[in-house]
Amino acid sequence: MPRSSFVSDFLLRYIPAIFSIALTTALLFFMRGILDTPIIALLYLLPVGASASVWGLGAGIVAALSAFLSFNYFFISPHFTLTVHSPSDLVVLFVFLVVAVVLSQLVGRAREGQALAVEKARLTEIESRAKVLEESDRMKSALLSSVSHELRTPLATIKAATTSLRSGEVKWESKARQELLEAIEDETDHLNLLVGNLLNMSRIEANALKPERQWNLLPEIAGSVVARMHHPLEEHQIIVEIPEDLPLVPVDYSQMEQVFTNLINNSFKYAPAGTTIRIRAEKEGANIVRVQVENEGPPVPADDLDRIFEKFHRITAADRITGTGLGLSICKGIIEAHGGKIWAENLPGGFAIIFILPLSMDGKLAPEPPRESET
Amino acid sequence: MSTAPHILVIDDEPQILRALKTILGEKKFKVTPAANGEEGLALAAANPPDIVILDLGLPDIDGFEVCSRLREWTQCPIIVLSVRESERDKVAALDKGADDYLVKPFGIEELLARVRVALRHAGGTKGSKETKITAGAITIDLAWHIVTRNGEEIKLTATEYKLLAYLAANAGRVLTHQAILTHVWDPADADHVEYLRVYMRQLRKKLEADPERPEFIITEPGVGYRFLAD
Repeated sequence: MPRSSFVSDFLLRYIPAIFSIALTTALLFFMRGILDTPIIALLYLLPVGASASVWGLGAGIVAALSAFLSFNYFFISPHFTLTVHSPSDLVVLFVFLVVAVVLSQLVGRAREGQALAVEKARLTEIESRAKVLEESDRMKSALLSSVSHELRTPLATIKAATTSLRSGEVKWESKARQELLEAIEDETDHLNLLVGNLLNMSRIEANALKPERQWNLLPEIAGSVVARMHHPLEEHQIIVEIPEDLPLVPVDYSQMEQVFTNLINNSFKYAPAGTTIRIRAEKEGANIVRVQVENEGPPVPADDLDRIFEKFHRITAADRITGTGLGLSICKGIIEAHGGKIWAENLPGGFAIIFILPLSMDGKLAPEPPRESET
Repeated sequence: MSTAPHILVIDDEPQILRALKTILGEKKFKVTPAANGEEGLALAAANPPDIVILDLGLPDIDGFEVCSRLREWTQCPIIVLSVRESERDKVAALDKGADDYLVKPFGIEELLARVRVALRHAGGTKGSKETKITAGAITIDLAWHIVTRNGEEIKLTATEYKLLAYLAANAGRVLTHQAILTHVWDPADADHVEYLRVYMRQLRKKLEADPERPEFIITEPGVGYRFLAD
C-alpha cells in the first residue's frame, strides 16, 4: 500500500473509529454505576459495527481492538489496568474480542460487497452506453450510405441536364430544353427538402425540435403544401377535405408543412398512378383534432405498421423506391413534439397515416375575436 | 430613375456574389459586391446604394448587426438573403429594420420581384402615393375606402377593410404578425395571432377564388403576410 494512501486511510478511517470508541467509553464510564459488565460489552459492539459499516473492515478491526482495550482498562477490575483477575472476566473479554472482530469483518465485507455491486452496476452502465454509441454509430453509417445515395441521384440528373444544355446540342427554343431546365429545378427542390429532413432528424435526435406553436388554420397549411407540389396531376390527384368550421389549431406552421409534405410524398411513392390522395381532418371530442392522409396504395403487413415510423425503415427494397426512410420518423418526431400521436392503418382499398393533435394551448382553446358587421 | 439602380450585395460566399453580379448586371443593375460586414458598411457609406442584399452569416459581424448599423443613417431597402429558415431569425431580421427576407436556395424571379417591390416603396416615400391598388380582378381604392371585384363592390367589415388597406398599401412587402396587429388592432393586441387568422380567413373567403390556395394574400409561415398586387 503506498504511504500516502496509508496516511489518508489512517486519518479518514482509523482516527474516527478510535474516536467513536473513546466517545462510547466516556458515555459508558459516566453510566458505569447502572450498567452491568455484559451490558457494557454489548454496548461496545455498537460503535464497532458502526465503524466497520461506515469506514470499512480495517476501521472495524481497529475499533474492535480499541474497544477491547478500553473495556479492559476502564470496566474490568482491577480498574485502570490492563490486567484481569477473575477468570469469568477473562472469558467475557475473550468472547468480546472474538465477537467484535467477527462483527466488524461481517459488516465490513458486506460494505465492500455493496461497493463491488455499485462498481459492477457502473461497469454495466458503461457497457450499455458503449452499446448505445455503437448502435448510434451503426445508424450514422446507415444514414451516410442512404444519404449519399439519395444525394447523388438528383445530382446526377442536374449534372446530366446542365452538361447537355452546355453542349450546344439542345436547341434554344426546344421542348427538350424546357424539360431539362424543369428537371434541374425539381431536383434542386428535392435536394433542399432532403437537407431540411436531415436537419430536422438531427434536431429530433438531440431533443432540440421545439415547435413554435401559434394558432393556425389547418386547411391553409395543407393547401399551401398541395399548391407547392410539382407533381403531375395525371399521376395523383390530391383532395383536401377539411371542414370550414374546424377551430384554429396550435401548431408550428413550418413543421406541420413538413409533416404534410412528407406524408404526401410518401403517398406519391407507394400509391399507384391515377389514384387519389385525400387529406381529411375532423374534430374529435372537445380537445382533439384528427387528421388522416389516405391513399389507394397497397396494404402494409400488420407487423410493419409500427415499424414504418422507425428511421431508415422501408417496407420495400431500397433500390425500388427512393428515399432516405426518414420521412415518417420525422413526422412522428414533429407530431409527438406537439403532444400528439401518429399511427398507420390499412383501409379497405387503401392505406392511411393518421395523427391526432391537441386543440388547446396552455390549457386554453383558441380565443375568438370580437364579431362585427359589414358596413 | 435616370441612372441604373445601385445594389450592394453583402455575402461571404463567392459563388453567390458571382451569380448575383452576373444576373443582376444582366438586368441593368449596378452591383457592388462585399465579402464581409465591415466592408459592406464601408462601401455603403462611401457610395450609398439604392438597395442592400444582405446575408446573415457573415465572417466578421452578424448580419443583424449590419442591419441595425445601416438603419442608424439610411432608410434604403434591405433584403436579407440567408440559409437560416427559422421564423425566429426572419422576425428578428425584420425587427432590426430589414424590409424583406428570402431563404436560400431562392428562385431568381422571386428575388427580382422583391427588388422591384423594394425600389417601388423606396421611391414611393418621396413622391405621391398610389391610392388605387389592383390585384387581378380586385381593386382597392384607399381614398374612397371601396373594394371591388370586376367593378362590383365587396362588402367588408371595418376591421377587414383596415386590414386589407394596410396590406395593400404595403403590397409586395412582408408584414409581421406584430406589425399588422399593432397597426390594425392595438399594440395591446400584438400577441393575438388568432384574431389575424380568423380575419384573414374571412378576407380570403371574400377576395380569393380558392381561399385555400390564395393568390393575393400570401402567408409567410410563422412570420406574417404579404399582399401581392399587379
